Amino acid sequence: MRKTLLLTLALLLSFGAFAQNITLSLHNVTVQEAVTQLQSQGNYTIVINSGEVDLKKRVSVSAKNATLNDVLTQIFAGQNLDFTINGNSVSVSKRIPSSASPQTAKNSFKGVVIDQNGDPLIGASLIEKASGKYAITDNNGSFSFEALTYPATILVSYLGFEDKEVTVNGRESQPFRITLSSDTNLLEEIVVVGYGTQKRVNLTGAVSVIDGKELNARPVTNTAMAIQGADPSLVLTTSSGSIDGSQYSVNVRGKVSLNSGSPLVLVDGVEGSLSQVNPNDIESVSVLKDASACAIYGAKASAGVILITTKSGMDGDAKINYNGRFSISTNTTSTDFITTGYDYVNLTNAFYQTAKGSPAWTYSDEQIQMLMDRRYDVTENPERPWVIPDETGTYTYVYLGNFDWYSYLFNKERPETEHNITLRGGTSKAKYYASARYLHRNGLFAGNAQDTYDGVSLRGKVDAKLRPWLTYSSNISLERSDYEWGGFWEMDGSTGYTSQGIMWNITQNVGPNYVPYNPDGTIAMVPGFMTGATSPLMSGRGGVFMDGRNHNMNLSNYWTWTNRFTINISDGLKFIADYTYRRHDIRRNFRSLPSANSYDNVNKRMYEGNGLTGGLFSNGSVYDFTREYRYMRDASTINAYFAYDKTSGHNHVSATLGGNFDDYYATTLMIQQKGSMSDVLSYINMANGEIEKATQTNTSYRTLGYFGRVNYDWDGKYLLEVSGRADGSSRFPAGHRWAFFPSASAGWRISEESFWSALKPVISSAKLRASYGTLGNQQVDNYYYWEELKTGLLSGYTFDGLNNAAYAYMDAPVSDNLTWETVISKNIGIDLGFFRNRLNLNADFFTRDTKNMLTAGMSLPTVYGEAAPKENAADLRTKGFELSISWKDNVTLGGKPLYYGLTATLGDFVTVITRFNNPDKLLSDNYVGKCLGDIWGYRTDGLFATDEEAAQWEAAYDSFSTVNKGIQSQAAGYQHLRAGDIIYRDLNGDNKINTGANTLDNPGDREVIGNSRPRFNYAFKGDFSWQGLDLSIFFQGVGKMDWMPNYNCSYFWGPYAYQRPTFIPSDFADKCWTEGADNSGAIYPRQRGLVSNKTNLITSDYYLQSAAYLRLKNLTVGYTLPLKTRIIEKARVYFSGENLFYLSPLTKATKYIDPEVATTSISDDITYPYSKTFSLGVDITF
Amino acid sequence: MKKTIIPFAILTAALTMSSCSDFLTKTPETSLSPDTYFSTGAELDLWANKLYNDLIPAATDLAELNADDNCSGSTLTAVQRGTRNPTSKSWSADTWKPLRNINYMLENNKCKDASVKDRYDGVCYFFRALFYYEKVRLYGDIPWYDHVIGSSDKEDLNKARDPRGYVMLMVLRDLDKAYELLPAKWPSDPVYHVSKDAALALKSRVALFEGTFRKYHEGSEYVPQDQQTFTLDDGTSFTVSSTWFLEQAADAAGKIVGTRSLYTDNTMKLAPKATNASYREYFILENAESNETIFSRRYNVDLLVRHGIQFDYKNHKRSASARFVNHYLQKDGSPIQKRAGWETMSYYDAFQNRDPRMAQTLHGPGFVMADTDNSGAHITEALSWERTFNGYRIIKYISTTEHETATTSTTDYPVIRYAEVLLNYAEAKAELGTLTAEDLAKTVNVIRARVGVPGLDAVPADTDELMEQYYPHAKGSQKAAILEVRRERTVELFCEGFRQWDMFRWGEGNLLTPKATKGFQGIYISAAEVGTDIDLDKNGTPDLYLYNDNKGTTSVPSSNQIQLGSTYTLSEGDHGYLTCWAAEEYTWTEGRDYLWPIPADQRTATGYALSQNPGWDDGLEQ
Repeated sequence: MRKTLLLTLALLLSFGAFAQNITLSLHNVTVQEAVTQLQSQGNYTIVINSGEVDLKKRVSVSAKNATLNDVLTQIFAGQNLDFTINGNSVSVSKRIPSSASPQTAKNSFKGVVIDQNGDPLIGASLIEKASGKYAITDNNGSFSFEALTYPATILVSYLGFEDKEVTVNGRESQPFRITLSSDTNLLEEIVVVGYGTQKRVNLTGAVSVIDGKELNARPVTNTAMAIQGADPSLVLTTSSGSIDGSQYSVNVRGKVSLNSGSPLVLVDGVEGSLSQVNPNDIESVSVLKDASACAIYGAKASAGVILITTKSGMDGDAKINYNGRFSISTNTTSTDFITTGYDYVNLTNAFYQTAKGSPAWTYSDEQIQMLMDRRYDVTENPERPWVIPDETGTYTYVYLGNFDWYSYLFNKERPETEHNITLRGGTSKAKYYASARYLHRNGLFAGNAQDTYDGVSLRGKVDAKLRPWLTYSSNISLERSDYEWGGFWEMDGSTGYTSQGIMWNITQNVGPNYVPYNPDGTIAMVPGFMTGATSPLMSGRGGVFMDGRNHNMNLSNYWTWTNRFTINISDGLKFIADYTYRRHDIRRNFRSLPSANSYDNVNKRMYEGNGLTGGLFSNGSVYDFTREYRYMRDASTINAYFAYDKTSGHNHVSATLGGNFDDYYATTLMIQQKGSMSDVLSYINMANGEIEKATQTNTSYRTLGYFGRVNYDWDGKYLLEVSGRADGSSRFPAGHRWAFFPSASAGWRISEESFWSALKPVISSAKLRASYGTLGNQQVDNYYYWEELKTGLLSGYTFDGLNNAAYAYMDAPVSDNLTWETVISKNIGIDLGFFRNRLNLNADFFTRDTKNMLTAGMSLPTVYGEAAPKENAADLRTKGFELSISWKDNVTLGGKPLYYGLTATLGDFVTVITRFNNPDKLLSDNYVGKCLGDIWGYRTDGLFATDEEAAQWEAAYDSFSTVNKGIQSQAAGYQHLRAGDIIYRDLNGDNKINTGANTLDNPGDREVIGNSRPRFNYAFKGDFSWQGLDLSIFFQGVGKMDWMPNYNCSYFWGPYAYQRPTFIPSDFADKCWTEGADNSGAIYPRQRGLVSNKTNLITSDYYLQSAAYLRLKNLTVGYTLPLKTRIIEKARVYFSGENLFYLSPLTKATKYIDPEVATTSISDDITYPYSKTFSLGVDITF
Repeated sequence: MKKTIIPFAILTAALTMSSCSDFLTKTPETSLSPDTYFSTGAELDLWANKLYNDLIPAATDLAELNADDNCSGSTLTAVQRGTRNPTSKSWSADTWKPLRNINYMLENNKCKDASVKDRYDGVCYFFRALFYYEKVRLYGDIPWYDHVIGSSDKEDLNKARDPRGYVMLMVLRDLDKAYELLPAKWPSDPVYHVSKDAALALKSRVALFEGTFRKYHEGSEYVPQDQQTFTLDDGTSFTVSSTWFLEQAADAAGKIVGTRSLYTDNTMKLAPKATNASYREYFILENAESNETIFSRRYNVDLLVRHGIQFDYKNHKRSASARFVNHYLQKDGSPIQKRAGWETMSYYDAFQNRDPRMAQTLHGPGFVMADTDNSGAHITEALSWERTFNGYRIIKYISTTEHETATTSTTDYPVIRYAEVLLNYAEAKAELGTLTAEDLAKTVNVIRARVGVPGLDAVPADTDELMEQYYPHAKGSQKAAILEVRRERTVELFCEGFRQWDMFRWGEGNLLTPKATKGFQGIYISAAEVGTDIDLDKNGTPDLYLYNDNKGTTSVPSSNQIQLGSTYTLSEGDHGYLTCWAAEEYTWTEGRDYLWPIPADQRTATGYALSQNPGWDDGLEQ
């Protein structure tokens, strides 16, 4: 009897790391041969612990895509053996008699979890996978299970360490030692950077990474919205809550130039836009912030780069995921407006009385009494109808309504649904990913003007290994949206389709005293009763709103197709080449018709417009026409580059070298033709009237760039990166076309030094980074260096007496000395990890100088013969920081593990103009030293308490041609300052309140009273998961932001600016200073009409609002059902609330304006509202 | 590995090589650019059209220039008052823009058809000459640019002024080129585009201006040295002087003299006694005729292209001076001072037996409008003080009644006409002292012949004392002839934009203002006529009622009831010439006012590269 033979076969092969499914066909071989063959299939370590194993036994194996267990069973068939599979290690041992199992099962299983150094790990969690039994290590690292059913598979996890799965059979010596190795993943985490990837630990530039999981968890349909607050360097401003989410602008670390300059957005390496990516497809987002990180993208990247990487296929069986939800959106702001005709008319009358000495309405006292009689009729009382015949004979009808126009025109609750399906899988040869999304939204507009949005997103990706050295990848995506609306055709310029036109038109002259329809069914088009005006309702758009015949659409398709070849030339050297075709089509179609059956109450007649009969109303914007607009963009991108990566000893070198070519062409065509033979068809051929407009635009550009980057690190301690790019752009003249932009960065992983070892238990990792780099800004007009010649007709010259002479002229000369705008950025950063990297802290500080911005140049001697062209004549400097701190850990709650993560971020920057051609420092323009966003205004000392005080002040200070000109132009009897008017402060002591010379040196009585830019962008995030329950909460906010409401912000100014503003907040009157009342809480001064309108608006700290806010951006609660069937792998249901509430000092003045949209220009008036959204969804993986 | 390098090498090579060429050039597709423009006649034409628009004066600019011969009743010019200041005349970028446009086209003209290219180069040279002629008239020395100035070209931007002699030399060379390159006639029309004759005519105008200016200002601060030599870039050298310029003028004009004829049609029959009124008719033609007209500006009411002269004349009560009227010879060719009592002649008498141009230029007895009533008779119009302020209402350019609104004056305006060339020729020869009887026969006599006034058989030897009094600085071996030519020029080219500049070049600026006459004088009124209804035109209907303090009874329309004292005075108190603008202050500073000041801001903007003109104090030390 031989002693126990210990045979160890340890062949470590590192070939084909992914082969999990085994295909093996052996005929009549020895067991030993079979084991060797099996090991050569993958990097298995097979340890045979028994001398009783017959290795010479002859066996046959026939396995096709079989599991390891299957194959082992075949190899060791007929032998009484057990296999313990632990990852890639297999141990083979003699089978214990089955009778033993039940006994041991009753015994407890004790063990200890230690790290590589043998130190116990406290708080590690262990789960027995089959039963879900759970244990947590104590202060000694010990754990115990009461009873296990063997063999039992236990999953051990501990933050900062790799998860480990061990299978035990109960016969192991106890306490069973489980060694965890520290989580190299954290160190190995790969970050997508320009033209490649890098290990996070080796990063030397300022790069932030947003994990796609964070985005996917929220039911946001738009990537731009999803990344808001995800990184403190990203400043996203939304100008309205437009239905497609297109009304935003985003910048990285602030405005890079006084000219345009927005971040370069790359989707899988191809230029795209944030609104054109389905957030469900996103694997990760990298934000490249400093010149060092951006340099490889050259001149397009001066404003930062946002790299979006979408999910790809992966080895393994197909995973099918369905994610669907239903949501309801409502306004984030109040819609509680005055809806009683009596109160509305009274309030506007009182204001207008002060302005013009007459009421805003021409109701007689008797009619006012009738309005009062109806004051409490929420619905029309048949005894007191809202429209009655006018017995005085002035009009046909008298309108005495309590009509809620907001609810009539708009949907306060807006449903939406989203369905998202993804397929993901692959083999070692080919991987695939496919996704489809359908999104449907109902918009703001109600009734016949209802707007709907339908979005379809498709993406398909394939990676095929054609040869051992050649991989082909294809990535196709389509983003399609279809927005359709009835009602008025007008869109807001070219920025999107927010129906800003109609939003603006309803801000005046539509009071609750009016109703939309007359008793005879006609539209109350010109209802009358307005002092000094006979305006049609909503400038005539009102009828169109109700008329169901108008139809408008905006259809958009983004196509992108990338084909990429990756060639493995040799160990460490790859060549990658790709070609991408991008196309974007837009089709807009408007069918506008006059509004039907409209009645003019002033002239007592039905409208008969546009050659049509039947009471059709038409005016300058409302008439019979068809418009068709087409946009087409064609773009191609070629990338070709080498990537090299080599480690030799302590030296690690990686390098990238290649070229990039972009070609872009866009064209628009628009035709508008009057009249149509059909009300239904929106088709130019049906139109039979005058062609009113036919316009075309074409534009194109090309860029070519050569880039290179070398990274070197020594032993992972000393990191160095040098990169650069030479860029040529068709946007620059031949002599200035090419420019080279270099950058360098370095890092020191100080925690890897030997002297750090004492600190390691506390500060597990520490890295210092610094970078310096230069970038050019090519974000100028495509043809800006061209002296464009234009043509026209001379109104005063004729040669032939038949036509005005046509002529050509130079639009504007171009400076002959143009150079690139240059951005020089310096960044220092520190990355610290504490307590086994559970606490992470990242900080970046930067300075960014933008040089030679193209602005108005110094005036030239007039012999030049033209206005001085723009010159590279301005500089600005931005300084700022970003801070992010996060904590991840798990604790026990109710005996179960609770995983949680907390993150807080903060970022800020200030931009100051350091050079500008404004020698007199006129405040009407930029000047050296100006902080972007500064608001100049008057200082105030509250309101006059008494008329006497006001009179004294009025006599002492000269203010009537300036700050109080609005009061001076009031009606007789209201032209003097009274109690409740604003006290302006005489800052320069000259007894005059004025703007001085409007220069920095002599600003009169004004000073910088605030700044409109968002300062101190911050966010808090918390993620918790426990027993299948998950909760995430996300706050986002701005620490400081000032807002001076523009004159046409009718929600804010109400009757102070407008004679008859349509929507007056119901609490408006309470906020006005009132004679004899307690005015301690008064927001507005004495009631005076039109003192804040276009000509009278005075910027002062009295009206300056703080638009700082804290918003609960998202709250999601999910539950993963504890079910596992043959079909369903995972099923989760969730509830999510987006934009649930906000806290802001602004709410003191108004709850009707969202602080996030307040400061953007489009918000000056009623906009498509910002929404809060409640969603209910399921997420099922098959 | 080799296999994979090859495609990349090809790709790289392709990208690199292509980047050397125009690979990265993208041309705008929806706007024109100089790189592609200026290749066809049509494109050149559009560019040239703008030059016409910007540089050809509007009809009203020329017809309404206040001087000693005519004046607006509503405003005096700063020149007349002597109130110009260092910013009063524009040197703005807009005024320099046409030069930029001209040089731009010259630099970019790449039309392959040489004849077309030449034609438009010729247009450019013509307009550059016109541009600089007008600048020199205003400023004297002026920087000469024959290329587009770059925005960073400090040398050009801060260029010092070139001497006027040099600039005028370059102007004449431009006109020589224009003459060579321009067509004799444009295929499209005979008179509305600049032609060879236009270049010659302009050359005679420019050279005469410079020649006489130098002659009459020689030795002053304006022309410290008459004779100057300039060596050009091509090495050729030119010596210019007043004589040289006058020879150039005579030479250029001489090429045209005898090749054209004056307009003599009488289709409108505007003269009261069925005499020929072709002189007046010529200026109210809807479409310019092409014998007398060398270059004309076109107007058309349907295109809303109109000048409004008739409306402005009415609005401004534009009137002629008694001084001007005295230039008119009698019908027999003798000067008016040969007539007894000529200085106290009534309005009616003044028009009798005069050069017929007087009644075709001023509203005389029996004046008719160009339109007719239902019976075919011309509409008559009484002399109204709504249309004149001193009785000598100007009716040159006055057409039909319906032309009298701001938007209906649409008669073509002759910018260059044959009569001027004839006068340029005669004047240049006379100033040179080489005028002959044959020259007079070809020029002055041709002009007089049209209106039936006897010509000059010989070069006059005796100076006319009135002309001598009016032009005291005239000098030369043929002084009498010079004065006769000036008389002819004054009456023939009245209200055609010449007078102020003529007085400048003749050194008679002092007489440009109504300083000596203490106001702008019109018709003669006797003491007895004051306070009575005056029947000016002797048609039986009183026309005018003048009164001092108390208005008596009168039957004349209220517009013609004039109170004497403030706005209107009589030159001798209770009688004399009806005078306006008497209360104004007039100054004329001989050592300053012949040129405009260089704007002070442009002197500082150029780092004082621009020197100031004589006599002007702009407050700057340099």
